[in-house]
Amino acid sequence: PRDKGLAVDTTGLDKDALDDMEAIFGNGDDYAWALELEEEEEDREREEQ
Amino acid sequence: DNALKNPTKRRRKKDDIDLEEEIDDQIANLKVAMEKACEADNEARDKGMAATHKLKLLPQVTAMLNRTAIQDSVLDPETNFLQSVKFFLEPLNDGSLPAYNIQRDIFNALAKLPINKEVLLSSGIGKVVYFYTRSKRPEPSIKRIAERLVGEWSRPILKRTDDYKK
Repeated sequence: PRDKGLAVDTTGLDKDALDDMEAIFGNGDDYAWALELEEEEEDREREEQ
Repeated sequence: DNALKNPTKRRRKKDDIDLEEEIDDQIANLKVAMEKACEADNEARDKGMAATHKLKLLPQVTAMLNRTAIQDSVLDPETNFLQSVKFFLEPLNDGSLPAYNIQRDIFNALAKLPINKEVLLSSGIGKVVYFYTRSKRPEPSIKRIAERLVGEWSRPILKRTDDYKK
């Protein structure tokens, strides 16, 4: 399964910093559609092999 | 009466403003062209054709990003040139990434720019760069730059919390 969280350690951050991180990098859902398409394609390729 | 005492200084200031307006116009025009190119590429992909519009515009986009003399205008949150740059890097409607040259040239240009929190918030460029760290499609060299940028851009925010705790 794909790691949904940010690549940086956010433990111990205050709420303002977490809000900033989310405002800047998104909550992981912004391009989820593209990542889903990617996985579907991979599944198709695996089935074809 | 200040102008009478020092006419040359005043003129220089006016020239600076003219130049700044000219640059802002150039940026605004390029932004429009970039957004059209993004739409045209998506339409091309929908029809099963090659997406070439962004690629044709790429030299102008990288030239703008790499012009250090106008960096303030390029990075101005109000001009928001980086928002159009974000559109260039976004996956197309079919989930495919823009051409490798687009990724390479833009990521290399971004790595050289002093990008602050304000321009990150106004442009949303951090979201697409973060997407490149998660997608499996980019070349490893591109992913490395994307990961480095996420690290660099989050450092001031993480550091602030750190300072606060001390």
